[in-house]
Order: sequence, then C-alpha cells, then structure tokens
Amino acid sequence: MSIELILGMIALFGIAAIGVPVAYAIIAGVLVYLGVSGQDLAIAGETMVQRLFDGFLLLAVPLFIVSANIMNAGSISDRLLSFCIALVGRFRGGMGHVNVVASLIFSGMSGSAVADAAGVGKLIIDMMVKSGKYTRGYAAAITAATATIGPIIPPSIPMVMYALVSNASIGYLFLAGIIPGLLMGAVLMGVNSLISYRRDFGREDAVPLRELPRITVKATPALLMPVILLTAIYSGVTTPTEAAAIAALYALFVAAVVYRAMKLKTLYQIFVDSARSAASVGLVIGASMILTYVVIQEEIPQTISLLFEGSDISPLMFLILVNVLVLLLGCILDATVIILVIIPLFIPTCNALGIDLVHFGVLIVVNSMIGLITPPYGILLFVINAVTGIPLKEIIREVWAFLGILLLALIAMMMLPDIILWLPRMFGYGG
Amino acid sequence: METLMNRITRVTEAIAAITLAVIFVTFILQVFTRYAAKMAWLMPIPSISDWMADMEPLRWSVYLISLLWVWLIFFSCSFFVRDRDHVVFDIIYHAMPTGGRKVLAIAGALLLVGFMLYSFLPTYDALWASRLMELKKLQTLRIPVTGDKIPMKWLFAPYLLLMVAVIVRGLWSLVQVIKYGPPKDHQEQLLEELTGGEGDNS
Repeated sequence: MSIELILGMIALFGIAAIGVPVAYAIIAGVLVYLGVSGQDLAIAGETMVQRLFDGFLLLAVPLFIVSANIMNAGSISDRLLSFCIALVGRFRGGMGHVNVVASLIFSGMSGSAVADAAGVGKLIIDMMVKSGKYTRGYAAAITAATATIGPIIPPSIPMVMYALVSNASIGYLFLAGIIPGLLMGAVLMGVNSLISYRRDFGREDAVPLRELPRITVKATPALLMPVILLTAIYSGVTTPTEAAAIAALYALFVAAVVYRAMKLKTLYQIFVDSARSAASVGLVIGASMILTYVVIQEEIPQTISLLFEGSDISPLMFLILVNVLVLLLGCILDATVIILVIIPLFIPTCNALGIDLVHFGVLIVVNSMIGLITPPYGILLFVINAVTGIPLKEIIREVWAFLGILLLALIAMMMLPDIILWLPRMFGYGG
Repeated sequence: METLMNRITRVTEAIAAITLAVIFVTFILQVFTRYAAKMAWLMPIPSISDWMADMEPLRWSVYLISLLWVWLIFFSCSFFVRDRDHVVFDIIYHAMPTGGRKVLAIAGALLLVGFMLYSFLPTYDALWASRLMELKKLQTLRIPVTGDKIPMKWLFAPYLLLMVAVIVRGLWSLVQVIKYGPPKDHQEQLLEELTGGEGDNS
C-alpha cells in the first residue's frame, strides 16, 4: 500500500468521521490521493460521471425506489395488511406473524428495508401497541427484524449494487434470495411463537375463514407484483433494469386504476421524494466507484488475494472471516457503503478460492441487513424510533432474540450453500 | 432570502421529478417499441395496429436515460437534497455536546469548501474547457430539430455544477453555524421531520 493511498484513506475516514456525507468524504479522500501522487485532479469527477453513465444496471435503483414509494402511498399497504391478518392473525402471537408475512410480501415490492419499516412497519406497530397485547418494545423489535427480509427477496437494491461490483448475474442473485428470505421469515415466526407462548401474549379475534377468499381477491393485484417482475426478467422479455420500470408501471396501475388511491398531487410528491433518495444513493454509488478505481490502481484486491492464497486458507474459513468483518462493520457503517466499498476488495479472493459469487453475494446482503438492526447503530432501529417514538432502549432490549436467530440463519446459509444456490441451479445457473 | 431559497427548492424539485418521470417513460417506450411490431396483430383497431407494425426499437433511449440519470443525481444533490438525506456516519457528532458539534460542523464545511476549490480549476479545464470534450460526442443521441450530436462536456457539466453548489452551500452553512449554532444530527432531524418533535429519543 502506497503512502498516497494511506494519506487518502486517512482523509476519507477523518472527514467522514466528523459527520460530512460519506459521498463527499470519499471524493475528498480520492482528491488527496490524486494530489499527493501527482495525478490529474479531474480524474475524480471524470471517473465518477463516466462510471455512472456506463453502469446501466444501476438505473434499477431509482425505478425500485419509485415503485416502493407508490406502494406505500396508495392504499396498497392497508389491503395487504388485512390479507395478512386474515391469513395468520388467528395464531398465538398473531400480529407478530402478520408482521413477518407482511414483510415477506412487501419485500417483493420495495427492495428497501428502510422503506418497509417506515411504511407498512409503522402501521403494524400501531396496531400491535393499540391491541394492548404486546409491549411497544416488542412490536418495534419484531418489525425491525422482519424488515431485514425486504432486500433479500427480490427486487433488491443492495443486490443490484452487489451485482455491479462483482459482475455476478442479477437475475440469478434475485432467484438466490428467495429461499433465504423465506427461511428468515420462518425462523422469525418460530421465535415469535416461542416468545408469545412464554409471555402469554393474547390472541387476536380470528377473521372467519369464509372472509378469506374476498380479502384475497382484493389483495391479489398487489400480490401479483413480484410475480410480474420475476416473470419479466426470467422469460427474457425485458432486461432486469427494464423489469424494474415495468414493475413501477404496474404499481402505478394498481394504485391508480385498480384501487383508485392515487391523486396526481400524491404522484408528483412520489416523484420528488424518489428523485431525492435516488440522487443521494446515486452520489454514494458514484463516489464509491472512484474509490474502487483507486483501490484497483493500487492493486489492493490482488494483494489481499495473494495474502489469503499464501496462507492456505480454506474457503469456509475465508467466508467466516469476511462475514465476521461485515457484521462488525455493519454495527457502524451503512449497508450501501459496505457493499460498494468493502466487498470489492474480496471479490478476487473469492474467485481464487473458488467461492461462488452468487452464494457470497447473498451472504453479504443478508449479513449487512442484519447490521441494520444491530445495536447501537442499526439504522432500522433509528427509523422505527423516529416514526413511532418508541424509545431506542426498549427496542434494543427486545431485539436480541431476533438478532440471534437471524445470525443462526446466516450461519446455516454459509455452511449449506444449497439453501442459496438450489433455486438458481434449477433455473440453469452453472455455479 | 428564505423565500428565494424556498422557491429555488420548489422549482428544482419539479425539474428533478420531471426528469425522473422522463427516465421512467423512456424505459417503458423502449420495451414497447421493441415488441410493438410483433404484437401489432393483437390490436383490433387497424390504424393503431398499422402504426405499431411499422415501429422500430428505439436506438437512443439507453443513452438518453443514462445522460438524464447522471444529471438527476448531480442536479438534485446540488439544489435540494438535504444533508440529512445523504448517507452519513455521525456517531461522533451525535455524542458531542453543542460546543464540540460546532467545531465539527465548521471543520466539515471548511474542508469541503477547501477540497472543492482545490480541485475546481483542474476539473473545469479537463471536463468543460478542453477541446477534446467539445469534439468528442455522445453516441447516437441527437438534439431534435437541429440533429446535432451532443458534445461530451455536457455529460460532465453536472459534476461542475455540484462542485459550485457544494462551495456555495458550504459557505452558507458556515455562516449559519456561526450565527445560530450547529445543526442537529441525523437522528434528531429525522425524528423532528417525522413526528413533529413528539418522539422519545432516549
């Protein structure tokens, strides 16, 4: 590692640490690197713009943001929620199960954990607290935990980012997330059942089964969205990025025409909000691309790869090490930063050790989503604290059980790659 | 001054929203034109069916979308993306008392302004003033009516816009911090925005 790079890194971390947006801190760090090594300072801006211009896959990000915002703004959340209540509300700890199932369904639409927690998550927490059967800390904690499923089941913004840095196929990554997402849902429901029995949480009034068909029909148009998205991708009718546009169009159609819950003014606000989030995400992505440019120029990934090859490490050991690192970083860093900046360092090592990049990618995305609920700095804990006013202390006290079981699920996925790779292989993935 | 800034925010928000909508619609058109000719027989109205049958896939859509995407990012970040919308690492800031936050906020603004000033001229020369950027054109994209190709420098222009905006906004926040004290951290701002200040923050 050259002295220029070390100075650049010091600048980057120093400036980010005092609270400057990470994207600007990265630009500053790269400028220090370029300046000290006597290169043209314009490389920073030029590389950033050029990579954003060339990275066509990235355009899925603003489109997924648009469809998530449409889903949250229309009355779609309400309808899906009554569907979930009719389906699993009858069991003990019912609203906890509703929470899990709602997250599973919503994750098929938004691709963003934060959007899930702030949208449908808030609705469920209010219902759980109002029913008087759950403590507010528990309601918030299970909502945070289930929101992590969002980006595991397609569509997924973090997986788009991973596909970008690793060149793994986004289509197979999306497929690979489905079973792990369901697994996470299942284990969370298990923990919820256990806790509900132990603490004797009350039952909900069961929705009569004869109501179920009617409620299902009402929810069907919204339930179809993930199906349409995946069909568009895997039938080869559209590219994954175009599929994101089709999904957004469909969401708009359902909200405006089928459910008649979309005013022009709301739609305008959706586009403003989406532009704002897309721009801030885009800036971080662009900035991390210039950082990657520098890191590759310095041959850091190759150095890391040689290091591991020399030490004769087993692939499993490597996976464990990287996952522990990501977990620790996840306590303090944003998932976006981890996937875009840290992960590219390890991709060549994965290739050298024969680790499947789809397997690796899903592990990393699951792992960095777990980071979102890891105290003290999990962003989902903050978001829920912000939208509901439930104190962080109470949320954190209740979140450990869910955190534990999600970690076990992660370990299972690490040891048994088939959990992740079975479905993509069924669809012809050769890895 | 406040009303002027509000107005700039509103107008630029509208431009960004429209840009995003254009990206969205272009995507849809791109898919539609690719299949229109094959699907034409499904359309019962003859005039529309004929029109679809003659349709050719768009060639310029990918480049238009990518160009607008670059503009959307830098333009939005220049004008109306707030500091709290960005990905920020503010554990240290969060833990500081007001005096410490003031020092950090001033240092942050000064550093950003400094780095942008430091790199502005070389970047301007290479990306905007250079003859190469005038002569190199974006592929396949043409301005309607005149039919001219678009020079590369217009792809890079929004980055320069962002540099200027960061400098101006940095200086502005410097004045604000010195006059009114440091801004709240992200969590506190999010809380305020979403709950109107009722939230518990312990």
